[in-house]
Amino acid sequence: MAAPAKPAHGENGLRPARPSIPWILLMPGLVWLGVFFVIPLVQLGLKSLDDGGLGNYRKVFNDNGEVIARTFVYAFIVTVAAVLIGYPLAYFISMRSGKWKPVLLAGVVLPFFVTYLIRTLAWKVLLYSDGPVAGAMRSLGLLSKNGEILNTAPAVLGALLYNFLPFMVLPIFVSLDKIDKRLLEAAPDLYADTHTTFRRVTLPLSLPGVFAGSLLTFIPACGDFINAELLGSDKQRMIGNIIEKNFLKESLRPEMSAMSFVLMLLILGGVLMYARILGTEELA
Amino acid sequence: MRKWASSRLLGAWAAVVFLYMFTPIFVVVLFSFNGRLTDSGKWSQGRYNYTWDQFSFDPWIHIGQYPALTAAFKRSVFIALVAVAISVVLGTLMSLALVKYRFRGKGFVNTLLVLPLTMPELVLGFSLLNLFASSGVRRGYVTIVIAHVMFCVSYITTTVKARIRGFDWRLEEAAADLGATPLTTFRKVTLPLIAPGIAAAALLTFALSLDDFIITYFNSGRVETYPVRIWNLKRSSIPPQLNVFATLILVVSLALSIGGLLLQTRRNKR
Amino acid sequence: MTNRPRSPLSIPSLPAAGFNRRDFLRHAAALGLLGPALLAACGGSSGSGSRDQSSGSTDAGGADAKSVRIASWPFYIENDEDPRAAATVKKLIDAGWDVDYQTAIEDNISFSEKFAPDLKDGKDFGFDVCIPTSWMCARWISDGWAQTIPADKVPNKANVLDSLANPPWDPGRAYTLPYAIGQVGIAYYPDKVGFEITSMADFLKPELKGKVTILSEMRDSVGTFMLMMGMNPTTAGKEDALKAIAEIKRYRDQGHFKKITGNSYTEDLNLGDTWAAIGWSGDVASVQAEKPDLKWVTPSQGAMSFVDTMIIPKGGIAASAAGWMNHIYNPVVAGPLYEAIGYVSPVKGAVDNMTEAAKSSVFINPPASVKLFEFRALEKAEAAEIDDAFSAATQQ
Repeated sequence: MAAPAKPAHGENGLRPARPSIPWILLMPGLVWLGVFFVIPLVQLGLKSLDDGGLGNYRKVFNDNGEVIARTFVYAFIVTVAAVLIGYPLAYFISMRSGKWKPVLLAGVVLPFFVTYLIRTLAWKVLLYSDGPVAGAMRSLGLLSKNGEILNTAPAVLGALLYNFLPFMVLPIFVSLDKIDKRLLEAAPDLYADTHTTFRRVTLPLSLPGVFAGSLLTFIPACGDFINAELLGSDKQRMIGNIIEKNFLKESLRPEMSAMSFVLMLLILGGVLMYARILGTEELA
Repeated sequence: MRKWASSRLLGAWAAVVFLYMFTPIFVVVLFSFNGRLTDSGKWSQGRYNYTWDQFSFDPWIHIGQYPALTAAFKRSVFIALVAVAISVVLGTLMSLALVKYRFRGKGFVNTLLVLPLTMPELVLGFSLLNLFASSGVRRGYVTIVIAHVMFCVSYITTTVKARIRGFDWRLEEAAADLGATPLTTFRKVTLPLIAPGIAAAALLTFALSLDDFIITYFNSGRVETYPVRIWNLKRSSIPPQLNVFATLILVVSLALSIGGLLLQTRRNKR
Repeated sequence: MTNRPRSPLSIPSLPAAGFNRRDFLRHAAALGLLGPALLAACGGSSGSGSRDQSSGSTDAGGADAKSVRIASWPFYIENDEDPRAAATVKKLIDAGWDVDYQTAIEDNISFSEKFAPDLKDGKDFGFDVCIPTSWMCARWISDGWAQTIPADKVPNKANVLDSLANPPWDPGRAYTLPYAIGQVGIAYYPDKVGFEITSMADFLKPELKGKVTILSEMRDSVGTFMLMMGMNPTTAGKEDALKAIAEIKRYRDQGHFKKITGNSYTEDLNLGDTWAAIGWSGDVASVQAEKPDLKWVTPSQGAMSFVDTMIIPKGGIAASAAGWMNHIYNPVVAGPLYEAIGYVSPVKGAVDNMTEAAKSSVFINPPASVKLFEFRALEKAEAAEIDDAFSAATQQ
């Protein structure tokens, strides 16, 4: 968000020769976003009230309450797991990897270079009943003879986590990397042990990264149907799967609109809260 | 001493996480070399390329065996080019306005730009579908490009913005003072300044567009992009060529990123 | 999802789903945002790799041109799946025919809803022949979305099996001709299951909990359960269907079904993660080709069948459609065609033109002991009610 104006240019830019100039530059993009992003969302809200009014929402919660709850529980689990797994990794890359830093960072992004559907399907190869992971777990006694991994919640959660983990690691890395290392060097001089330094200095300074990463993980995880469809069974379906099954059915549009609106409002609430705390410039 | 131990522990953790992140990629690449093409035109591993059969170059040699897949891939590349071209223009103009100038409503514009990035693709795709369906627009190439530009504009603007923050715009004024027309100023001064940022943003959005499935799926009508083709194909078979294409994309993106990185370090050294 | 994979007609090689260079350029131009250079580039890139584009498909266009545009189900011997087998079929059946074959139907309802605006207005939406399932054809006819078949151009119409010649919703087959008959049965791995399955009761034994899948196609699943419960789906009323749905829900709530899907059940069946599945005959035939230990049975109480049916949409070119129908209703053409696609032919004398192997296949030529039932043609309102109940029972 724009901070109070400072003289000349600097962070906030020049005062335009004519006030219309920035708006002329912005216009084509704003129109595009207005027509193809804002209007559809407004329309989605209106459509969700078609036919049944607020009853659509009641119907959605009655019929698919379990799926909606599961979607948020899954997204929550995935986000928490991503913090727990991703934070130490980001910390290692930022603080301890030395000259390997760029290489390791590239490694974090590497999965993005593989087509999403294909890298998700690769889990099928790993997880099916006669496959390598199930075999290893059986020989360790962790899986019964007829036990399965594919088509269970752990398969879906594991793949969701896999697909969105880089979204967590990168922002945490960025915020850790921005920390002035002299601060950390100063801490021991002031008789703080490593543990205290981390708790008092590093962690608070990296929290914006954790927040950003949490949103970037939580949002796509909420809206995903690919992992549940490819690797899950009947018992793992999420909001996206219901919408995906019905999106062509004209008669169900209001109900599906209500469902996506619920999803959107909950996420939007989170984002606005976040934006209030940290400002939109950070997020971008 | 404690720091050394904790480094070890962190390193081991990083190794485990990287194993988790790389195993599927390894599988994708490995399975692009799986199976022989038999005389009947079928694959020795069967319809689904899920179980290891034998190492062979056949999937790479017969990369074009599935014409609809090849066509969908080319179509996706083309759609990505068009979408990126449009969004680069729109996005660059927006980022110039936002970085260069101070004006009322800037915060609002920034928020609007961030919103598409904070919305699940599912909602973006489904709400666009609603728009097209209710206004009787037939879904196809045009609607795919529209949808892609919609999310690419935000990426381009935010990326370019970050790259060009802190430039000294008085250079432009200086050029104008020296008698350059606004167009010449843009071509000779502004563009060279912002070009690297744009190129990086364009690459990123090209990859996003090429790989986009959810939004495209809702708005593609009869047109099959590469990810949509995979989704539809999956109902009947998973041929190893899917892995070949994925591996190709991986290799090309890696080459481009490494190239870009080298270029940047050289530029920085100069 | 209710996508069925069984794709009857499988004419290979021609324009692969949805891509047509002229459309493409037209759309690109319509964007109005592209420079000429980009347009040229696109022409080049789309042209170079277009082995799948028929050589000038609909350009021939003349009155006698043997060209037809067909919307059918995905898979089976689709060009993208099995090009060489497809080429064989092509040689056999489409001599002289320029067939624009698109796997446009993923499930009956979505397909109809997708093109409903065009169908209502009688606009051409790109197909001369569509092949939805018979019950959907009945709906199209009553909605006035179909053209009558120009009977004089289809003398081979007389070859339709007697049992299919006179459905109540299309007496005398004025609008439609059956394309292929499929069976709904049980596919299973005897080794994994550990006992022989002969009936639905076996399929529902607790030992198989979580290891089996059923179909998301309402008529196929509900009908199969009705037969198990001793009802006759050809005559039974709405209440019976609802009872069968309650029974499906009871088993689902117990966690008996791993998944309730369309065609994607073949994936886990192929991997061996699914031990037994209710499936479609043509699909199972193709999985069996790879997994010889997979067994196919039709339940002893009787099995459901479906008839995917050719219909001419209002905007289609009737002459092209009729010529094509006449062509494949020639028993000499039909024999090899149905042998290749693995479904029961509705054409009299087709079996006589098949190899011995095909004649003894339970998929192509089921023995008389297999009792097949077709689901009753439902009124629109009751269909909606049963559909809703089914999706509530299987989706939520």
